[in-house]
Amino acid sequence: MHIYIHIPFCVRKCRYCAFYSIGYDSGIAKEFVNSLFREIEMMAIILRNRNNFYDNDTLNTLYIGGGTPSILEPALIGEIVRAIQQNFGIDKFDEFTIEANPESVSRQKVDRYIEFSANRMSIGVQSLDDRQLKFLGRIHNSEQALDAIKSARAAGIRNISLDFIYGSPNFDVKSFLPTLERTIAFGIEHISLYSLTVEPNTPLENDVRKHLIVLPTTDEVGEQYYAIAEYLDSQGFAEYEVSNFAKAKHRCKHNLAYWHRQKYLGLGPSAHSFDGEYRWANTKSVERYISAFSRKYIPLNNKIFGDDFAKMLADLKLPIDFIEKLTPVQEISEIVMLGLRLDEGFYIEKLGDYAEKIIEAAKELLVHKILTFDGEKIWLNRKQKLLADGVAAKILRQVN
Amino acid sequence: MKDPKYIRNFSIIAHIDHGKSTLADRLLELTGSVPEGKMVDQILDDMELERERGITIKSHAIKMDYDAPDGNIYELNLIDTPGHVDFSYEVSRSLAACEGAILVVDAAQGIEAQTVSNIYLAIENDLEIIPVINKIDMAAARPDDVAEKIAELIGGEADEIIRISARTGKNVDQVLDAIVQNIPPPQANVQKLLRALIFDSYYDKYRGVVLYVRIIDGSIIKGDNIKLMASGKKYEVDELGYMKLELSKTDELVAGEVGYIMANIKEVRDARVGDTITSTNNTAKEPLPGYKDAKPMVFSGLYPTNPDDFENLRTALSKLRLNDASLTFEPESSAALGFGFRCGFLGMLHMEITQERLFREFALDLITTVPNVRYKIITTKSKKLWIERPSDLPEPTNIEYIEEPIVRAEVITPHEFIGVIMELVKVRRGKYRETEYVDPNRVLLRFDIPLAEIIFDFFDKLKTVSRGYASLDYEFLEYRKADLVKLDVLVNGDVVDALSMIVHSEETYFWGQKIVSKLKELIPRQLFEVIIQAAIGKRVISRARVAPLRKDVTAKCYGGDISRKRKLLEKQKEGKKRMKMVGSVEIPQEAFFAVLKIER
Repeated sequence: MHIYIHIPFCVRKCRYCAFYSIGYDSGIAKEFVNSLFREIEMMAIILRNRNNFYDNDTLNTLYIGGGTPSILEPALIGEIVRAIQQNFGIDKFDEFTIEANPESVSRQKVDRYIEFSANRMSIGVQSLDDRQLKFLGRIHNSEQALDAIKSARAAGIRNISLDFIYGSPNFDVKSFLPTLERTIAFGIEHISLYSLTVEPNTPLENDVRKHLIVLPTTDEVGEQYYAIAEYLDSQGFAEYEVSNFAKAKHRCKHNLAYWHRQKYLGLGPSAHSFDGEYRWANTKSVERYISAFSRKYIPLNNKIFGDDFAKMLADLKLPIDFIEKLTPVQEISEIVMLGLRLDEGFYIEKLGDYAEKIIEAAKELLVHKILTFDGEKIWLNRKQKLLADGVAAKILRQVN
Repeated sequence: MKDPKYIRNFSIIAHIDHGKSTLADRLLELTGSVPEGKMVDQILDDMELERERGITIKSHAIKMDYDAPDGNIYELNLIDTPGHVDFSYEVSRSLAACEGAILVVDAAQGIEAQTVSNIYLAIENDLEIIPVINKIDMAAARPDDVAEKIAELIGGEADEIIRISARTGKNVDQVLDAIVQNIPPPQANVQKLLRALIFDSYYDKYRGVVLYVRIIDGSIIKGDNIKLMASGKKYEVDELGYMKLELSKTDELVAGEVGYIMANIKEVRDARVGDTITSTNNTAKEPLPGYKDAKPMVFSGLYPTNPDDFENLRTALSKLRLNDASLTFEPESSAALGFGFRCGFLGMLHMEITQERLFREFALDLITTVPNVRYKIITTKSKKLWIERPSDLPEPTNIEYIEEPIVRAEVITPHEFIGVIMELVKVRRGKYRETEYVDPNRVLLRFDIPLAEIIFDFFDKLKTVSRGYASLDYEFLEYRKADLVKLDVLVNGDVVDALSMIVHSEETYFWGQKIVSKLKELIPRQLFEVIIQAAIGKRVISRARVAPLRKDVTAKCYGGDISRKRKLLEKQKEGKKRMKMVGSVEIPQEAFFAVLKIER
């Protein structure tokens, strides 16, 4: 099975970030971890009784993300991993990623992660240009970023992913490509490339609204992406998803589970889950999360297990932000929307009764060489990758 | 049976905003026709739209019993008329049901174009005119001036003109006395064969069509078999009565009276305004004069944004037509817009109101094409064709000539704007006729101008160049030959029929360039390149390109949060649904109106 754990702490909030995190406090961290244990125990029981989560999905992945997981005491990470393994009966993870920010990575920490069986690290490098890092509100510099990569490598992590940001003001592809080259030289396996997105209620949004910052046009951002993608391709990194590039056999199994619409369980504040039928998310509030799982008595007994999953979660007063049962049209929307982001596209056989309609809707885009159809699956051509959303919307407007 | 001696049938005529509805409110109050607590402003304007726009769209009528100072009780029938040029025929029929008219003139605004045309209408109908100067309580009021002008126009003594404030009620009682004393009682002969004038009608969903009539000759009772002389249709009278605030049944209506008749009539078009009711057995020899078929002058295609709404649109239009004899519609299809209806309207206001009602009352989201007039085509084989949409124009080689409707327009304006207005008229292919001084400061300009130019944006422009002072009135004059051609718009090589327009041959380049650049502004960038062209026949005269998108991503796909991404996608999808697919190009609704936004 696929499990995600959200560690909601950061030293400082980055200017552009809309993820949920609060400042680190060891007391709150302790309470949070205790609540997390409680959630792990409860969800293990619930899912076992629901009897639809443990299917023939052969892979087991664990992804500890955030926030900044590397901010936590390594011992706590170890306890969390043990709790997962015990409660869900998993000996070994096929892929176990820990996210880390350069400033809080050290050789000692990585050694511990490996002890807990972590085999992949995702490091938030973002840029090797110190001016860019400052603009983004990151607290590390380029030197720390390179040190973090070295430490992970030296400790023995054989699957390293780096996050980079493009599309920011003054971003210049010409000076960025040498950056990539320097990091690739360490032999890293995976790169995530995100365009700077203005998310609501972030300092960045505020600055943009007040015209303090001028972002490049979408055309310019598009050109940047295609140039970087081409370079990465030449370096042996396949673009297997919009913004994700990997060397052979190093695609992120955990993220692919999301994109292939497999089941996953998200634990911790603001984490999302999918059981093939329902999607739900935990509250974003760390406070609410902690208090919900600090209750002395939670009526988890046989009476509570009914067919109505949403009702059950409500009866248990779990700190759920929302839960939705997908309609057939929503399922199709997801298949198309997520599939178009992948290099392999989406498979026609998954579309059921909608297959014909969707092929019809895709025709014009096939003519314009935006899509390709091999009789089995439809995919978005590489040079059009950044049109994924528009293409999905265009195709799906025919489906109601 | 009321002695005709004690009946007064009158109407109130006024330019928009001169206070007609407010005066009506006061008359109703003074005669005790509205129970206490029931009074609302503009009580006769019962359509929400009428109150909002401050205009009367439908005619209304109400009977008031007035206990006059002479000790007699008079039956006063106020016949309220629509206040817009689109409805001038309806106004004329309402006036034909009266013996007198109260002419309301704003003490600050003075006489305006519509005031003048209303006076002419009243004079044509031999009405006794009682001029009233309203809004004397306003700071800008200049009642003496206005009184002079009115006296010049209709004769009489300026200082005898009643001056009121309908808002405060000041001197309104003098209006009532003038009605009784100055307006002649109806010349009524109960012995003659029945002739009743239909001056309005409306559709009630429970009772069918209710006719508002003025009995000119004879009398009518429940159960009478009646015949409509223009339509030839026959009915049996179900119910009749007077219009009070609500309908009030009675046994008989006699010559001179105003009342309502119900006779199981299904649609208002079966009993049009202006038709004459007579008896089936004792048919009158001649119908009452003045009947005209309501001819739509302005046409527009109405298309549902969602193609599934086609039948709903048909139902909605049918429902509106029950109550609107002037609305015409027939199904049409457009390669660009799919299935819709070509609708005919009396004028722009009628069109706007209809569209707004479809939206408000039937929740229909529509794309409307640019309005146009009806053209007369004489083919090379001497055949006569009428076309109501540009895309129906035959090949140029098959056209001998084209005629377009011309209106006689009258503009009243302060003299300092004569120059700019003349220029406006010239640019819009108008032909100046004559100038009359209404008063030392203001003139009435008369000119002939293609209706097609008027329905574009003439009125808005007129208001702009005259800083709001000029007023406009017009009526259909005749069809005249014109050198017109069809300008097509192509999007990625396909003619978008809904964007075709008929323009003067000397203006093709102007329109071609303007429409293409306007569309380039309005058509968003798409997943692939879009080429927009304007063409006369096969000859492309203008071209623009909308570059394809390079990046069209709504948001990242955060961790496991697929729901957010999907919801954003659904929003984007809904946005696309509001666009029309023309071939493979998504065109926003406002693009179909682009031509109206072009500056000349």
